[in-house]
Amino acid sequence: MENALEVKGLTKKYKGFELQNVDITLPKGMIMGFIGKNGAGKTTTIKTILNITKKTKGIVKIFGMNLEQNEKEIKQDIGVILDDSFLSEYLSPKGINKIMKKFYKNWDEELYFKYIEKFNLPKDKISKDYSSGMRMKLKIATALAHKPKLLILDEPTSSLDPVARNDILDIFQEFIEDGEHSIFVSSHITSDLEHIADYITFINNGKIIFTKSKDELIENYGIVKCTEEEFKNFNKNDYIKYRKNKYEYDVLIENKYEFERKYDISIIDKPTIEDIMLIYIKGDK
Amino acid sequence: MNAIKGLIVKDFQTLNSYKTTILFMILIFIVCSFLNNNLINFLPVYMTLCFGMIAISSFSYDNLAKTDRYLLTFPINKKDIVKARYIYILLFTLLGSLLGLLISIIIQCIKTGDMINKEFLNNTLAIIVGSFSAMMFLEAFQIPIMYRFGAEKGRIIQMVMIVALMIGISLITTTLMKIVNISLDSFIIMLKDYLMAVLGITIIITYILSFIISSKIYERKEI
Repeated sequence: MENALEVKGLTKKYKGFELQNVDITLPKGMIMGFIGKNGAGKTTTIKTILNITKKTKGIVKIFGMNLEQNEKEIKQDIGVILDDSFLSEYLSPKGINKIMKKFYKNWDEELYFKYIEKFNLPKDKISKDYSSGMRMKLKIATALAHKPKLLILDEPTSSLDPVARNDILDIFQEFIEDGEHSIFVSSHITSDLEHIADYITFINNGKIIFTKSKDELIENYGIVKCTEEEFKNFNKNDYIKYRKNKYEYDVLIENKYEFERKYDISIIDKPTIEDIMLIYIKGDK
Repeated sequence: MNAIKGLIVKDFQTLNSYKTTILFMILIFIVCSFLNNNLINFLPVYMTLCFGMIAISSFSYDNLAKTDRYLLTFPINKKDIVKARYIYILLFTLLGSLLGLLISIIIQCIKTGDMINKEFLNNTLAIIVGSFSAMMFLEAFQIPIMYRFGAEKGRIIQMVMIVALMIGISLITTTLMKIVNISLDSFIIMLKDYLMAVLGITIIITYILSFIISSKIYERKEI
């Protein structure tokens, strides 16, 4: 299967923080959710992948091409939303259109204004007068209008209300439907990713903890609710991490079917991505 | 080339919401020039200065929205961004100078009824060349400071730098004149014939050097 994005050994050293040997593989036609707490390295990873910030080492390939050698060509086909950065707030959607069509060969004015209309954004009003949700919608319309093959999105739904979030998630889902388009999306709203992602990559303290298919995570992973007595019987190799609560233990396991066979346990919950992330970060081994 | 055009369009478009303020500023200059005869000579200077300063403020707009980070996701490179900024500042300052020239001529025509007053035209042209050159020179120092220290810190540092620069230039010139033993008057007379050429070449070299320095600073900068 062809890959839309391939990252190998990506390292970026800052004073006090290091992105360490990040490996990511996003197959074409898929959505990969990139999760982690604030400060885990999500934005740094995205900035380094896009060569906004110079990597210390590693290889980034997009559409099978090395980014360093084909940067301008590759970026013609990428749409990006960054959490904290966009064009000036003193620009209106009309002004943005005039600018963007100079940069992208495939910029589709009609499509852009179709999104602007769909999102109910006033064409002539500068975005300074928009709400944060409206500004995010403007970013999304701008990222989609040159018909990119790959979307790289940093927290695109964080400022949206549940209805707007749902609309946007539908647009992302439509975007990948033909199997030719892919999305790499970071978010700390993990429930959004549960709806749309095919793969989940989890980063913590600058290191990738895992990349798994979402179905595998939801179907195979489990959280065992047990007493201290029961927990003491578990072999350390059979669980990932545990959290001690007031009355019980939450134990994260990788394969609930195997675990069920091995131990006589009655309650194994289906975890959410948030549960998995929380136990990984806060739990003990 | 399209990328550079796009970046220049971005800076002009960003100023669009300030159209009314800029027009109001020009209107005040026009009214003042009508009221006071002496001010008409200064109009091109004010215009060049104001437009030059507005052009430099593009750094603040970009800084506010952290636009540079977003721009680097476009099919462009860091050198394009610096190049476009230099061209935009040059163009916008030139626009101020030319508008100043045009408005001065129109006001003079209305006031005197004389369509082509050669002396006035020569004077105004000299003022424009002088103020445009001074602004270009100033910008050549301002832009690398903006790239190095950012729009906020850069503003304070550039003031200190400008004062230091002026003291430095006057010290060097007076020392040089003492060494070669000529007075300021004879120095100016000596320069007069070559003034335009010397000025032009100095500004071009300064601007190119400034661009090279800014590009190097920006290339290394963590955005």
